[in-house]
Amino acid sequence: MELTYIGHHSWLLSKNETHFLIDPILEQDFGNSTLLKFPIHPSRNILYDKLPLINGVFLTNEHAGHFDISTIKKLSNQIPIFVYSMIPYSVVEVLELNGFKVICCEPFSEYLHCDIKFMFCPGTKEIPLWENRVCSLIFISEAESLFIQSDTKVSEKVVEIYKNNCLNKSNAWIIPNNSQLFPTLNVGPFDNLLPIRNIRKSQFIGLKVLSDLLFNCPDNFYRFFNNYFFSGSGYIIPGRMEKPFLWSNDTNLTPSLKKIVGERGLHSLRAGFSFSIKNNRLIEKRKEFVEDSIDPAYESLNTDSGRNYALNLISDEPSSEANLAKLFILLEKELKVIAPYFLSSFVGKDLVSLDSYLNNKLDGNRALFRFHHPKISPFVTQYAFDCNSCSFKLDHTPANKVIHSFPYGLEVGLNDFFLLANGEVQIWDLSMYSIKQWYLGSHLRSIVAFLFEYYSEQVQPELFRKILLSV
Amino acid sequence: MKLVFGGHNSWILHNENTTIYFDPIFNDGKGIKADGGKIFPPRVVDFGKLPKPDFVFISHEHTDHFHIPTILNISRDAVIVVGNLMPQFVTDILFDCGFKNIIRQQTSVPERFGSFKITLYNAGSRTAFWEQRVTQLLVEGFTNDFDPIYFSVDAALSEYFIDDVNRGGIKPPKIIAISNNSESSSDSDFGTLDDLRTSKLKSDKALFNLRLLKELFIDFVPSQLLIDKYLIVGGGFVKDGYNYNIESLNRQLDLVNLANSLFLSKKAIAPMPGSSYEIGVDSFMEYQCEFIWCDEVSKHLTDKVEKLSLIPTKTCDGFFKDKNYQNHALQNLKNYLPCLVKALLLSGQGRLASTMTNFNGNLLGNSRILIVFILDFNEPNYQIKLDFQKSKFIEDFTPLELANEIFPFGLIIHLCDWEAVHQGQLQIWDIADSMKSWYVDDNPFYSLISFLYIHLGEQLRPDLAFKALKSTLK
Repeated sequence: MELTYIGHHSWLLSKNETHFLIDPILEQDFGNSTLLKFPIHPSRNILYDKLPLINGVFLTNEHAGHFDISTIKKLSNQIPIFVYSMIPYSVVEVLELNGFKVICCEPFSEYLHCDIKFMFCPGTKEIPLWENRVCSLIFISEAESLFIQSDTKVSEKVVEIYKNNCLNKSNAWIIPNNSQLFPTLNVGPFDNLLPIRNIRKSQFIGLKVLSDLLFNCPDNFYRFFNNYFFSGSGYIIPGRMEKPFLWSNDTNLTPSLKKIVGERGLHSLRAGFSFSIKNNRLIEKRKEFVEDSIDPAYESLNTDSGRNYALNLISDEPSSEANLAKLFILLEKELKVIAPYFLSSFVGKDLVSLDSYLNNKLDGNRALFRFHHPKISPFVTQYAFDCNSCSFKLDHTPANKVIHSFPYGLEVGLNDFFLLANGEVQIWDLSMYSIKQWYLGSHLRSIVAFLFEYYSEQVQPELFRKILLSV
Repeated sequence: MKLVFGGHNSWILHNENTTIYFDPIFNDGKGIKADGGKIFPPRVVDFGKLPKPDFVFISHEHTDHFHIPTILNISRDAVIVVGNLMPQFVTDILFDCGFKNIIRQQTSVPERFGSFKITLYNAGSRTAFWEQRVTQLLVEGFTNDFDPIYFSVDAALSEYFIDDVNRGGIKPPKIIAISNNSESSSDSDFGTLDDLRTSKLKSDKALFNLRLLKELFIDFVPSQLLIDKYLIVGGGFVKDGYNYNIESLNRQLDLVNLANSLFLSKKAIAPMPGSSYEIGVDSFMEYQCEFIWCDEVSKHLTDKVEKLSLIPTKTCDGFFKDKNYQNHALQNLKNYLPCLVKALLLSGQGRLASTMTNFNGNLLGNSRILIVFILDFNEPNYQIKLDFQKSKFIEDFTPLELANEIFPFGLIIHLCDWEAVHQGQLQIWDIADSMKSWYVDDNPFYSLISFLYIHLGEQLRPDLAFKALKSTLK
């Protein structure tokens, strides 16, 4: 089998005249919203007409970094598309509407297509809710295997499969680098506005990313493989980053590791370059369907997005008092719906377990949602979440005191929030592009983590369907 | 200082100057229904001799602690003290009852209440969601004239309290009151959170008491606290005509006797209603108070034992006056399903269900949660399954006796009970015995009944709680 990197999480798997695309993004950017796109980095141009004849497309999950409907629409709808049987149904529906045949595969069940065996492998139950439909993929052909780990953990069952089926094969492992670490000067959605030591930006984070990628698997899983490849975090966010994600260009990540473990087996492929698993070697000739392109996104990178309340808004509306008033009516309605889900979430439970904050006693108001509307005074309107009445209430704490008064807080554009609630952007778009927050404890128990769950494709299938149909 | 046990979880603390009630419950009845249950062991209260309280502490919002019939008998001059995380509907109702002096006391801050010094603590972080608003009490003498006592109520021990002890900020208590809130049922009963699938085996119940003892005496209190006396209380209710037998009714006493037989000295005590203790510095003397005493047990026991059946007993018999009323409730339910889907997908049950691949040795389909609503008037059940791929409920026709072999999670509930809760006429706790469930991992927190405790409990639905409790004021 031959493996060709296409960028971000996209791969082409080839064997003789059989070609499979995995999580293909062949455009120069991705994102389901018509308002916002994320450019692939390093940039490259894919020439559709020079692609080999594709025999199958495999999707590991529903997120836009893996399932790019714009790309798929440009492929022949005679190509079968393979997905996990639990993938949110809107994916299946939209593909079928476009004339594709979708094959929903059962977990850990062996399938055969064009003489290549494959299997969808869900992760472990510790995975956050928004990633818990993600599957890794195993491809096996004669004496070779390829394990494409997607944004999920390796389960015991996968280890068992490798023990039983792949011991004497030439095995390759594609490891997802899903860390999406914002550059040191920039603040991402999980970076904490609180002036506390940021574990995600600690001095050792590069080593932590590497060791997590390789060793955070059961039973020394890495020992089954002869060759390892990194992929993921291969895009940039215009207006919010001064440079790409830390260690996103895997040509930066692998040299460090090579210094530790030696040359053999570790590869970082540039888009269009391939590796023969069978022959255990890199192929020097670049595929002709990939060509270099200038990275237009660099022009919009931003060095001024640090620890402050300023936001990189998708939309700076509303622009009139009347529209603002209308939005507040809708906002309060949405917040009323969200309130019980928020209180019963991980962050809600943590709010209630608090006793004090910065040496001050707390009342029932423990989280603050700040909505920015930069065209109309007072420019920010904020709502405090009251744990005792399970409701959001208008709050007037001065901006310079909010972070000292509330242990949890969120900064978001008012109209951006409506784009989200209205299915015009997804939570991934909004959070990566714009949202900031502060919190105590783990980022997986923060307000943004709650929004990831609440506005996920699983929990809000109607919003997901709407945005997919709009592409 | 004198400490008097009133039954279930209620206490009176008093000395010459000050009387404090804590979670007082001196009338029968738990929950919204008038016949919601009787205190067990049964007791007689001489209201004429009951000391009048200066302060009334309420640990949390559940009706066996915030007991409105008792509250209504208390002088409106009493000061009511609640924690700063008490749901607001409680203070609203207290205000409506005519209490003018209601204090929201900060946790972890000692405060003087008459001649007592009392510190409220947040529930421990391991506490079940529906008990997380419990505030625990550390009671000390303002002049250090008795050994401190800690009341943990229905929650895990507060980490803030343990920190204060470890820091040397407070004198460690020698006496602790712990609620055995397990409400365990005996082998012949089917408990609220029992699993319909595994209960057939009965194997896990065999060692239940030992596990309970370990949890109460080893896991619950860190060993460095060096407690002298454990007062085991709680679970002090019996529902009229319900299926407790003598063994389970005497469980606190049985447990304590069993525990003491395993200890080097007698550390565990199961107070009976009226059991009283005079506590000083290094002294602890038991006596019987004159205003509460145990009634004769035998008069109040029933020997009604429920046989294991898939269909739970209905709470709201006659709630639907006719079929139209039932049809209307069914439509309300159908309108509510999208909200229920979201809540289930975000719940612990939903998270676990969506990551499962196999069940009972077979590959799981996309539908993993089944809810069966039993209808009146001989109408067929309304049975729905949650399809995790489509994120919606779909009508299902699996025979009920096979359902728990096919779906990893299931709930059986009467539509009339469901509707009564959604109308705010009952609380979810009132229909707890009218539901049955099955689940995986032998973990009752994965029961769909636990899910409903959260989803329809006071914290997420204060509107329903307010409506239900307000109706009891009439």
